[in-house]
Amino acid sequence: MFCFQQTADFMASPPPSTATGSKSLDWVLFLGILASMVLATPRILVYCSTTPAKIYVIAITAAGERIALKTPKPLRGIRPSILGAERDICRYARTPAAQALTPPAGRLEWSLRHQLKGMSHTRIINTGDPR
Amino acid sequence: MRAELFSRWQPKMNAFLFQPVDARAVAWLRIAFALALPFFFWSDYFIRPDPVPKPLVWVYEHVIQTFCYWLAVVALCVPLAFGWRSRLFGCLLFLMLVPLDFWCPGPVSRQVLLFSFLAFLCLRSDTVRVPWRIVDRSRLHSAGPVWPVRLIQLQLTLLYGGNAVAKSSASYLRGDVLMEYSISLTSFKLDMSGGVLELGPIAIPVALAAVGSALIEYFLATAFWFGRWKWIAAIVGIVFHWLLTFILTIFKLNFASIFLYLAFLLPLIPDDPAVGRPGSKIDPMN
Repeated sequence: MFCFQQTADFMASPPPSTATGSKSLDWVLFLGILASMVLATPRILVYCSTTPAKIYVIAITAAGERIALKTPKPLRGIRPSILGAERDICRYARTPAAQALTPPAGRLEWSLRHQLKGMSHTRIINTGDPR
Repeated sequence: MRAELFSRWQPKMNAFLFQPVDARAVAWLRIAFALALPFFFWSDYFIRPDPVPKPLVWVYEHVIQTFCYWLAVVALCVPLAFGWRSRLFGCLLFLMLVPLDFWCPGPVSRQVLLFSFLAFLCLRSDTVRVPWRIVDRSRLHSAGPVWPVRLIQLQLTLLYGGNAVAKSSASYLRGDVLMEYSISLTSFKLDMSGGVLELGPIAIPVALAAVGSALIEYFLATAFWFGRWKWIAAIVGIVFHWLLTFILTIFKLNFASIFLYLAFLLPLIPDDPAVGRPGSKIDPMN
């Protein structure tokens, strides 16, 4: 109770030329808050770099069965950007190698997985619409 | 040499950080904070925080992320608005708002507001309670040194400057990042993957839009600091954020940025450099 009253009294005291009553403490507070602001700045950056993504492929048979395939060698590994990965998929999907992977009367479903702002996203790629 | 440099810069730094701040303008800023905080911390959606330990998740679900908690925030804003024990209630308010930002991967505008509010709490904002009742400026009191206001101003500079620097990468300036995000993020309203940003009848190459946005952010990070430019910067900033609303949703960050313009636009720092010195009209010790 006493502490609370003391705090309240301090807060109700007339405004001095420093915020804390001591210039050194003011400097410490100023630099402390400024450092926290600078350190937390990466959290407030929006849309500044490309997002790495991984490519997955599923073969869908004529009966609708979904079979996960191993990602073809040229598309394996982490791609530096979603858009680049999408272009690579579209390019690859038109090659004979991709045709060979496609089940008879079936199709391939290409997808990209990436992390954005701590959350995982999956994007199904329409290979008929190259960007 | 070093001592000479220090003695040359010390008065300038002193004036920059310890010049008294106008209590009437601070009172307006206090009211603006009291009105803005409930708006910025109102959530029509709450994202369950991931990194929080299990017992705290319960606290989040049943206490922090509830309408009653938000009402308590509003209740604390009332004494703040009226300047009654504003530091005490402001500190309580700050402590209540911290968990709504730092453990929630939600809108980043809250962080900007929280740091600014923390800096604001270092001012004696209760020196003047009702700012519009005071007509005679010569009878005004100081609300303490100006450094908390400088921190709010620096927060705005960090917001724009940080983004401008981050955007200065080759992949962003080529337009790759914008093209990519426009198809991968639901917050983008326009599809720019074709390399063109279509704003109504105007078609702008994405690379040009990317370079333009980085340049505008550099301009906004610096121009506010030059008195002559601050109004132009404010107009450019408002138009920039207005245009952004057609392209993407950045939640309340648009409003948060514009809110911080107040730290530059309100007459917080008296024009007369003699103000605040003993014997002057506005005496910090009064």
